[in-house]
Amino acid sequence: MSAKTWTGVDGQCAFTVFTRIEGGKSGADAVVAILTPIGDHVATNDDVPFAQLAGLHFASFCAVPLSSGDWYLVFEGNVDGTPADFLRELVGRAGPKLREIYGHCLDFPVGDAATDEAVLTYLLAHDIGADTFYVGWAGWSVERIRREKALRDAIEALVESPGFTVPPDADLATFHAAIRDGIAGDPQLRWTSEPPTRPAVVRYGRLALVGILAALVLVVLRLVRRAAGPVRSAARRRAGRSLRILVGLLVATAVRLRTAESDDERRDRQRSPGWQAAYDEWSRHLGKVRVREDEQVQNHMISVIPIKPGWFRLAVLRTVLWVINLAARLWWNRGELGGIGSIHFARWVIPPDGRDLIFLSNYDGSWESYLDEFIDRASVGLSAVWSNTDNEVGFPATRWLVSGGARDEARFKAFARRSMWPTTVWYSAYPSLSVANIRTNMAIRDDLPTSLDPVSDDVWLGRL
Amino acid sequence: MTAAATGTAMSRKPAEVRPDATTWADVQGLVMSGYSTMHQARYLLLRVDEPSAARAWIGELAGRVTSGAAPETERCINVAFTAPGLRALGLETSELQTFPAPFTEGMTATHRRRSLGDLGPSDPTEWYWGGTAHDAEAGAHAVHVLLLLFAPDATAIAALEAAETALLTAGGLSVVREIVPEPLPGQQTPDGKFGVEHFGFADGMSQPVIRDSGQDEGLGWDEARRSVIAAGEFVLGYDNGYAKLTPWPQLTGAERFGVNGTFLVVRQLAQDVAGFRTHVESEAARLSEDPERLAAKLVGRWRSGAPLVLTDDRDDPDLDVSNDFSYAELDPDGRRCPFGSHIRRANPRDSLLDDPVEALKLANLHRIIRRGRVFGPGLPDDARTDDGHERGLVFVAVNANIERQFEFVQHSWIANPTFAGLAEEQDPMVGNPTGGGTFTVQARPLRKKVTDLPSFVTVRGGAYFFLPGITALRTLGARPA
Amino acid sequence: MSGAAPPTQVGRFTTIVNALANRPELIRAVTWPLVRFAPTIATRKRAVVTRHADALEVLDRDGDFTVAEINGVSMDLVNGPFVLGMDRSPLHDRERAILAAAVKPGDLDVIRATVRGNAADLVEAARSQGRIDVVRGLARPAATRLVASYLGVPGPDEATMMRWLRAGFYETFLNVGDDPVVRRWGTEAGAALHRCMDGLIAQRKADQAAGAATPDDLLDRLIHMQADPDTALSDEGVRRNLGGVVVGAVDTTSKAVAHAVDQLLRRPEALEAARNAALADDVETVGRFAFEALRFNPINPVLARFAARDTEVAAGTPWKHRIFGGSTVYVAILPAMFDPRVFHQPGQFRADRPSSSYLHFGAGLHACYGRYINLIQIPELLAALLRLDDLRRADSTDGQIRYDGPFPDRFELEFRP
Repeated sequence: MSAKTWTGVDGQCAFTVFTRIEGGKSGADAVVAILTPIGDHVATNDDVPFAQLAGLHFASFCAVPLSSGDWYLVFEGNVDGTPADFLRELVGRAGPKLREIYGHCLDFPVGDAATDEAVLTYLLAHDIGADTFYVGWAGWSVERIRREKALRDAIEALVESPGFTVPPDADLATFHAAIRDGIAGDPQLRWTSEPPTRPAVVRYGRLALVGILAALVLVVLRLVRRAAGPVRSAARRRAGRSLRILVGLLVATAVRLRTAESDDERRDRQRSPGWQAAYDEWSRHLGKVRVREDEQVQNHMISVIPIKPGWFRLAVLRTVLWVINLAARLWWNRGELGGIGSIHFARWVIPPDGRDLIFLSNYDGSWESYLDEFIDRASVGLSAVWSNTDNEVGFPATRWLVSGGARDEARFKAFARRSMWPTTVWYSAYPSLSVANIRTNMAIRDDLPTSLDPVSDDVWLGRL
Repeated sequence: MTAAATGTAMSRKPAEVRPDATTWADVQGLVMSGYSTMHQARYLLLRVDEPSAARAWIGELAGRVTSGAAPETERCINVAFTAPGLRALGLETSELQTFPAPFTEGMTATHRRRSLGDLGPSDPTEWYWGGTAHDAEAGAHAVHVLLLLFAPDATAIAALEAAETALLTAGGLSVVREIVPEPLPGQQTPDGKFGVEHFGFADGMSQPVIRDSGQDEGLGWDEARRSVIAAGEFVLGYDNGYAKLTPWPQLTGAERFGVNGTFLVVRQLAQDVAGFRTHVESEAARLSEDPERLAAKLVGRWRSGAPLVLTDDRDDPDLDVSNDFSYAELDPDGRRCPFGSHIRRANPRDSLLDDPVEALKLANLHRIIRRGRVFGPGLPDDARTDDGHERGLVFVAVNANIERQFEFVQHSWIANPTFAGLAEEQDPMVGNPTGGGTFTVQARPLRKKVTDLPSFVTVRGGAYFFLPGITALRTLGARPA
Repeated sequence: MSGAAPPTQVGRFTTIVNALANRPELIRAVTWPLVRFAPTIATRKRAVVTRHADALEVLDRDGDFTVAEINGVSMDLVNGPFVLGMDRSPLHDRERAILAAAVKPGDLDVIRATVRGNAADLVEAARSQGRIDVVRGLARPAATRLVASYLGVPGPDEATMMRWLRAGFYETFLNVGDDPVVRRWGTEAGAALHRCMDGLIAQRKADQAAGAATPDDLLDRLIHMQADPDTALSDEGVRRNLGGVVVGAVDTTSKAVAHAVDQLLRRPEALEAARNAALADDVETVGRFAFEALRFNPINPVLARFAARDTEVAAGTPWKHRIFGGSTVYVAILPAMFDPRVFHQPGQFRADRPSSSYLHFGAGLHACYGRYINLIQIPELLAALLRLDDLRRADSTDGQIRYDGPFPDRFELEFRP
């Protein structure tokens, strides 16, 4: 297992099995040819029976080229429990197909050497995890999400059934009680009588983040106080030196960043062909990229963008991803990521050679609305990430890492579209549910057993 | 200036670009007006047979095309082109590539059928025009040009149509199909309300107002905030809702070809009026609801046009043209106007985020101007079975960015099963292309669910058109072979 | 609230606003330097206008200073759209004209007689105890009875009607902080009144159709006016317009009477002069005393408007000031009525001031719809009190105005039986 799989969030883990396809483009075409029929019947095919694999939320297979010119197979999944457990089960159930697929990949064991154990070892060895991993509902297992959906369905059916005879002018508490009692009679739903639980990371995550930030502030404050301490004391000298280094580093980084940004802007002006022409030229491939788009409530995207050359941009990018990852783990774990309430699972991952940035997301609604949310709600974060990358369209001019950038709607969308590759196989365990639906189902379950005041009862009944 | 340089210029534009008086003299009039005094209209779908003659026809037509500056009283003419039409007129592939993908791919691209909900009976293989069956027939039925003719009365429209048909025939074009909208009712309200669509509901009350068009003056603060939209959302070449320039199409030697142009979305929608009435009545009986009230819940307005948000108990015809409302404060839980009702989906106003001001700003990045008219005779009020006459709406929408405006509204709002936190339902009026839909009527104490909603609306034809500025028409007309 | 105890209380902000609004001396003390030296203060979000001329200007310029943003939502929630919550539009103009056409010149005499009769009945009922509650025993029921007889909206019973109207008015005009509890009270009361009026309208239409003799009240007239397309409102339109009038018809009046008596009791000389006028049946003079007294504690110390665009007040004067589009403009009624440019020696109580200078009913397009009624009703109710012998405050706090939110709720006086 790669060191990066620590990015699992309180029970949910991301794996990104990243393998080089032999034979370049034609090799990739061969892999896509194997994968396409699976993708066409993703929930029902027998070769890779995703729907029978416990704990799997989302999974996808995509073949993408990287800056190095090589094609890679990206097999991504979001699972309850560890990737090792999941992949072991997968190998057990889909061994032959995996051997066929990965037979096109570098270093895959040949013939009899490809025992189940060897396949598993291969997959785990190539798991590069995620640099930033976001989970919409941290701690909510597939089972829990499905169970809460079943509860809602049962309530909806109950109130429509002829047996539900509460008179329309009864008070709200009577309705609530009638629903609770009706559900209590269903042995399948006996679990609802137990009090709901909240995952620890949701309960304490924000507190922890505030604690970390407070500790940082305290350290700096202490340095400042020491630096203002008795003249000629050793402590003052040390603190002063630390502060000078800290400030110096910050200033140097800022200067370096602005220089890099204005260099980028200058290069952008000389871009040939212009970004729009580059996008226009590429846009006839758009249909292929959108091959699996808008088939259901949710969508999937994979984006691959070269990181700007040089150590500086890579270092900035890694730092930004680390910070966002921390925020996503501890703060944004309740159905929204910085104001975007439509992402189930998303990740950024930098492949080992450090030349590209891969973004994978499982989101609700259309790509257009998803990108609009990016632009309107989270342009700061996205600029901080993607301004370190570049493709033929180029990321819009950004200042101080976060300003401008993604706010340039037309160009940002062209940039993002240009970076996308077709999703060949994509599985969702609950394809009809949006992040908001999960939230509603959760709230219905939470307040089902408890008796409420009229205002809350009204809100509760309004959720149905 | 090369395309590359323009691209860069666009992303680094120095200041606001806003329209002035010359803009509206160059923009086609349909953007500014639905021509409510022109009671008669003809939509001619044309094919280009002889490109060079057709270009000459366009150049000469440019002199007759109605601009947004001075509305005519005798007749109005507007003209728009599909991507195959522009190709037939001799545009190079490299030039066509500068048009946005939805326009060049067309309305019938596979992924677009899914996102627009053109499935089942609405599948483009079944369309009368613009559909995929026609592509196969190698151009015989291809729609290249849309010529929109308007006149005050039947005599005038007949004369205009005869004259224009003669000219276009001489100009190397032929009529593939003609759509004859119903004449408008004699009486119109001053704010452009066009009367009543076939399901029996007043239509056309809610339209965005274009900033700097003159129509945006003297409005109240809230009204302006709600409905005044940046000119670039409807006319290319000006600041859009993001204060940026939407990239516009360019021709070799005419980099500003797209400026003052825009895109028209045209969809011919057949309405099953008898089906609508019988389904609403049977569901109303099942739910012990008043059928009128239930129908109003589906639409979000009463038949008169009075919005449910302002009068949820019963129709208040005195409020018929009222567009002066939002949802966040008056109806946060959908118990007046259901979340899934047609008007709330088509324009959720300030209701989709916790912060209403922010929500309104975002919703206003997805507005369209509707310029459609109804076609086919009305079904008598008491009829509950179809009379065999096709009837419906020719939906015509103006927008500068098809993906962010029309397609977004259609996919992310109208057809979105999880719109506003709902689960597994679509627009009850125009969604559910394959039937079996549900619709939740939020109510106290408990919501009601309308079930088994069939598709009341079937797409019969459609295409994306480019509606060039008048200068661009001249450019097109003057192009050498 | 009267009636069942509310499940929740209003928020702190609303409590503070109500407490401040009922401290006229405090408002005067804080604002007098403004009136004299800096009559307009404006930020991007808020502006205050204190000069009399500027207050009138803001209230008059209804295109630039609008009301829909201020109370349109509350009005829509409680009652449905009504002219006092709408800015100029074809709908507004038409409904205003219909409401104006429903009133007849002879009505004022009828109103005067009705108010006198109601007041006499109520005072008579209290006479034997020698003690009367100005609000609960006189002004509030009297105004509610006028609503029943003149407007034609009796409500299920007087107590319920008073409760509905207070809750409705609170939300519609006085819920400055959008307090959710006030909003819930108002919408629930509005819905109940709505159902009640639906029944009244249906009943009256049936009576008219049956040829029964029906009272000549506003309801009756609006229904008759449905016959003429120019003045026809739908049934819901009748309900909505009448409801809008009704909501503002009681608590304003009772507040005015309570404040006027309270101020007169603080000024024995004025009280004596007013009493003499009342005894001489010179109600016009009683009215002069009433509106001068109200200047010291008006029913609305501040009115709010919304600046629809960037503009200027007091243009061309030394006091000219920029107002930002999108800001809320507070028209400071109380300080403006102490503007020495208009009110000579404003600190003095003088019953001979020109009545046109007062701003009690607002001004311009959205001036109080009931002002002509209340120019009669308030003096008549006050006169009925003043005629009592040896009128004085009751002991302890009973003799001070006690408020329910922004409304005087109890105010007890004693007299010689």
